[in-house]
Amino acid sequence: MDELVNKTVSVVTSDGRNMMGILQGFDQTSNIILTQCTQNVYIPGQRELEQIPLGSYIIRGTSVTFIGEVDQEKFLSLKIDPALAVGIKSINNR
Amino acid sequence: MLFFSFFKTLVDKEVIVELKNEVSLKGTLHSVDQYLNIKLNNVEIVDEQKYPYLGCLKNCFIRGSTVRYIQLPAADVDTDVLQDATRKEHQVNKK
Repeated sequence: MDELVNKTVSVVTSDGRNMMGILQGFDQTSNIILTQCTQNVYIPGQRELEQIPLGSYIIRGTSVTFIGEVDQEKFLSLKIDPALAVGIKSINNR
Repeated sequence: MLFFSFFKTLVDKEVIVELKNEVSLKGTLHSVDQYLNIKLNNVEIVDEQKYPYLGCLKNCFIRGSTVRYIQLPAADVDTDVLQDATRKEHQVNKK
């Protein structure tokens, strides 16, 4: 995960939230620190993402589903077809 | 540790990882670690129409605990060897 440090990443959590921020650090159990974090909320039926600024966040590893490096250009030219797009489900592992 | 070694033999192959939240990610396997956390390069979301906002990812790190299935390239898996290896590991663990 070293190569993702200081890059803008998108993190999907186990409850289906999608946060975007700059990865500052991580550890063995994939606890992560994000700065300039925003939560990207997709409300079904809409054409755009809603971005909620959150500030700095620590996300516990157990609630991380996946972390991806964001291609900014693609993100800015994002097109959403509201007829097909849905939110991300949560993981029920308890 | 058998499956850790097995996944290491699949590095640089194309796989589809299905997660427990029903998102599927297709990409080139870059690396695996002891927790079966997976790193994929050249990621595509399989059902991109459903999750267009995830389509802007270049590479990703997937936490092993959230994986449900991994679809493997059939040509790159020798099931006979894998079966023998699982039996051997089972024998060792019994002793």
